[in-house]
Amino acid sequence: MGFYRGLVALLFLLPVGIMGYKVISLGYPASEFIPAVRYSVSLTMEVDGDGEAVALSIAVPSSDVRQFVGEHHYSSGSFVVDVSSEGENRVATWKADTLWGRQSVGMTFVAEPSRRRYSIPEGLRVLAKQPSFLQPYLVASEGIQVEDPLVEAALRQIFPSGEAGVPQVLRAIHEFVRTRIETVAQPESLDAVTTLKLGQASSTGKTRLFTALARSAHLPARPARGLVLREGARQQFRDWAEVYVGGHWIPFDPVEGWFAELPSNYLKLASGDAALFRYSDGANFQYAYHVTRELTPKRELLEALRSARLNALNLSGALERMHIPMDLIQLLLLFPLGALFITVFRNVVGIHTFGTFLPVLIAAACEQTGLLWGTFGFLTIISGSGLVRHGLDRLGLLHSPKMSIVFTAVIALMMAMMVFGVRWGIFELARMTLFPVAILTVTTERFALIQSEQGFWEAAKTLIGTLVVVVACYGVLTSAFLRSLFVAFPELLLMVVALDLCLGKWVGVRLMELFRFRRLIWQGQEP
Amino acid sequence: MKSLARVLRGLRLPAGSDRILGLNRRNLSYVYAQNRLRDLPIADDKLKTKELVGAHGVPVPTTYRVYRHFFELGAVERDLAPYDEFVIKPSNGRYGSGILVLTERREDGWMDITGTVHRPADLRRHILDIVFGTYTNELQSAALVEERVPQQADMARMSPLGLADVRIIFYREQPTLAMLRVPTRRSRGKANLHQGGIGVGVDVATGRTVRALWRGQPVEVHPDTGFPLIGFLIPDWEEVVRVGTVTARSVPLKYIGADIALSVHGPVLLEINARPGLEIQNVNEVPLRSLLRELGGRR
Repeated sequence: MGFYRGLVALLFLLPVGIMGYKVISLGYPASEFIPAVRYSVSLTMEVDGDGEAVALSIAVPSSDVRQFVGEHHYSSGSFVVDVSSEGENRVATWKADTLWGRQSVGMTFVAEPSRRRYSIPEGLRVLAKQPSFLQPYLVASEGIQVEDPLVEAALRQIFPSGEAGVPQVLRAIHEFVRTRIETVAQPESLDAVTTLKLGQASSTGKTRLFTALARSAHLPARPARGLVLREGARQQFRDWAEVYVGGHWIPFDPVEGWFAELPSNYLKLASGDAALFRYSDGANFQYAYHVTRELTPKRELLEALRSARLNALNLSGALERMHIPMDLIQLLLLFPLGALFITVFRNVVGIHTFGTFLPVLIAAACEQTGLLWGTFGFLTIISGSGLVRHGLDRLGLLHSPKMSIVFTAVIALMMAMMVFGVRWGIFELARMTLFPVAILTVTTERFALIQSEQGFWEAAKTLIGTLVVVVACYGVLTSAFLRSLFVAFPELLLMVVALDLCLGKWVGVRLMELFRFRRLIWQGQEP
Repeated sequence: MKSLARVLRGLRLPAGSDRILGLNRRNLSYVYAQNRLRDLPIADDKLKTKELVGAHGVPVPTTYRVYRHFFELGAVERDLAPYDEFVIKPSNGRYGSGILVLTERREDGWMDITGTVHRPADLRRHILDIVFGTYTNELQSAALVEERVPQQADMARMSPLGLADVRIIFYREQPTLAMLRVPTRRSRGKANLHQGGIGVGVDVATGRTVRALWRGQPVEVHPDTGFPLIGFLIPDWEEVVRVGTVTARSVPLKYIGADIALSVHGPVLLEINARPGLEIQNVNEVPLRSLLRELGGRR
C-alpha cells in the first residue's frame, strides 16, 4: 500500500515538476495554448474531354502577414499538374494532351487567416513621388480608369481640398464607395467608370472604383480577390482593395465596410482581379469548394516548441519529415486520456461498452468524418454486418469462416458508404478509411453474443453506452487545447497513469448501481 | 493526493449504498484479493470443478463424454446412441449459453426441452461450435455431454419448464445469500435471470422462499403456471447447504457462487462461479456487503 501511494504521488508530482521547469526555466509559451481557428478547404473541378488537349488553372493562395496557407495537396487524375508563379500570384495548372470523358481534379489546403488591424498615422502625407516598383499601381489598368474625367470629378467632389493626409483621403474614398454605390449581386464585372455612372455594382465594380479613386489621389492601390470562408459547400467570392501605405498592402473592403482590416474568415486567393479559373474552351468546366472549420493548436506554439529544449516535438519533427502527419501524433498522445475517460465511464458511472478501447478508436476515426457521420457510419456497419451475421446463423457455419464473412461485410459496407459519400457530396462519409475494421467485426460478434446470452435489450444498452462514450472520447481527442497541452507536455501521460492507478483501487458503488440497487439503498432497513 | 481521494470517496454517496456490494468492490476486494489468480480457472472450467469437488464426495452429474478436438467428432452418433436424454454444454460457457438439453429420443434424433428435434448432424455441429469456442469467446473450449439431472418431484411442480437450481454465495465456506432460479417459457428452459428466469429469494437458515423477482419486478406466482413462488420449502435444504459447504471447502476459492440442483437422488452440484452476479441482492432485498463484513470480509 505504501508503494502504491508513493507511486501515485510520484506520477502526479513528476509531471508537475517537469512542466514547471519547462515553463519557468525553458520559457515554454504558456500563453499560446488557446487554440486557433483553421479552415480546411477542398476544391474539386470537373471538365469534359473529347480527345483534345485540355488545360485549366487556378490561383493558389499563399501565406502572407495576414494569413497562413499550407498543406497544399493536388489530385491530378490523368493530368499533369504544375504550380508556378505568375506576377504576384501562384497558379496551379492542370494539363492533359488528350482527354476523354468527364474528369475531375482537385486541390486541398488549410488556411488560417487572422484578423489584422492596421493603423495609419493621422499626419501621414501623400507622397508626391512613389518608388518605381509601385508605378504600375498608380496608373490605369483594365477596368480601372485613372485619368477619366468622371473619376477625377468624383474625387474632387468627395475631397474638395487638394491638401490632406493619407487616412483622411482613404476614409473619404471608403465612405463614398461604401455608401454611395449600392452593392448588388451581378455576374458581370463592371469597370470603375460604369460603377460610378450606375451607382451600383458587385464587389468587383466597387473595388475597381475604390482602386481608381485611390490611384487618382496618388495612392498605390490594387484589387485583391478572395473567399469569405464559411463551413460547407456554399462559398462567397469577394473583391477588396489594397493600398500601399508605410510599406504594407493594407486592405479595404468597401462592401462590408472593413477599413484597414479584414475579419479572420477572409482568405485572399490572388492579387489583382483577373479570373481565378482559366480553362480550355468547351470544357464544360464546373467547380465546387468545400470548407470545414476546425480548432487547432496555434502554429506559434508548435513553432516555439520546435526550438525549445526538452520536448517531444524534436522527435515528432523528425516524424513529420517522414510525412507522418502532426495530427496523428497529437491523436496518439491523447489516446491514453481517452482510455482514462472510458475507464471512468465503465467503473465510476457503470456504462457498458463494447471492449475497453473500441470507443476511443471509433472517436479517433470520427475525427476524420465528423461526429455525426462517424456515428452514422458506425451504426450502419454494426447493424448491417449484424444482419449478415444473423443470416449466416441459418447456414450453420463454423466460427472462423463465419467471422471472415462478417469481416468482408464490414469492409463492403465501409466501401459502399465511401462511394455514396463521394456521389452525394457527403465528403465526411468518404473519409471512413480510419475505421478499425477488425475491431468492428469483433464488435458485431460481441453484439450477437450479448444478445444471445443476455437478450437484445442488454446488447442495445451496450451499444448506446458505447455511443455515449464515443461522444465523450471525441470531445477529448478533438480538443485543440488538450492537443496543445499534450504536445507541449507529454509528461502529462504520467498523470493519466496516476489517475488510472487511483481508479484501479477504487471500489465504490458505480452510479448505475445506485439505480440498480435503489430499493435496497433507500429502503434503509437491514433484515 | 489526499483531496483527490476525498473527492473520489465523495462519489460513494448516498449512505445506504455502503451496504451493497458493487461490481468494483466484488472484483477487487473479493474475486481478486481473496483468490489466487491461478485458482480462478477451477470455477471457469466445469470439468475441472467436477473433478475437484467430485473427489471430495460432492455429487455431480455423471459425465458421459468430453470432446476437446475436431477429430474426436467422427463418432458422435455412435457415442450418443446409448442415451435417451442428456445435456451438452461448453465446459466454460457463461450465462448458460451453448447449453442444449435433450429430453427424448425420436426416430431421427433427439428432442430438446423446447420441442425442437436435433438430428445427429445438428448435434455434431453444435459440439463443433463449442469446441471452436463460439460460446466462450475463446479460441478453444471443450464440450461436455453429461447426464440430464432428473428433477425432484416437489421441485418439478414448482419448476415444470426446466431444471431449477439454487445459487448460494459462500464466503469463507459460510453460506451468506441464497436464491432459487426457476426457468420460464421466456427463458426457454434456462435458469439464468438474464435469460428470463425467475429469481426467488431463499432464507438461508430455513430454506423457505421469501420473495421473487422476475425481469426486475416482484412476482408472487410463476408467470407461466401460476404456482405460488413464496413460502415454498426447498426439499432437503440441510443437505443442499451441506453439499454447497463441502464444495466451498474443496475448492481453494474464498468467494464463490455454487449452483445446486435437486435431483430425485438428492442435491447435485452443477457448477461453481467465481464471479457470481450481484442481482441476488435485489432478489433477496438483502445487501451483501454488510453480510460479508460480519463474516470478516474486507471493509
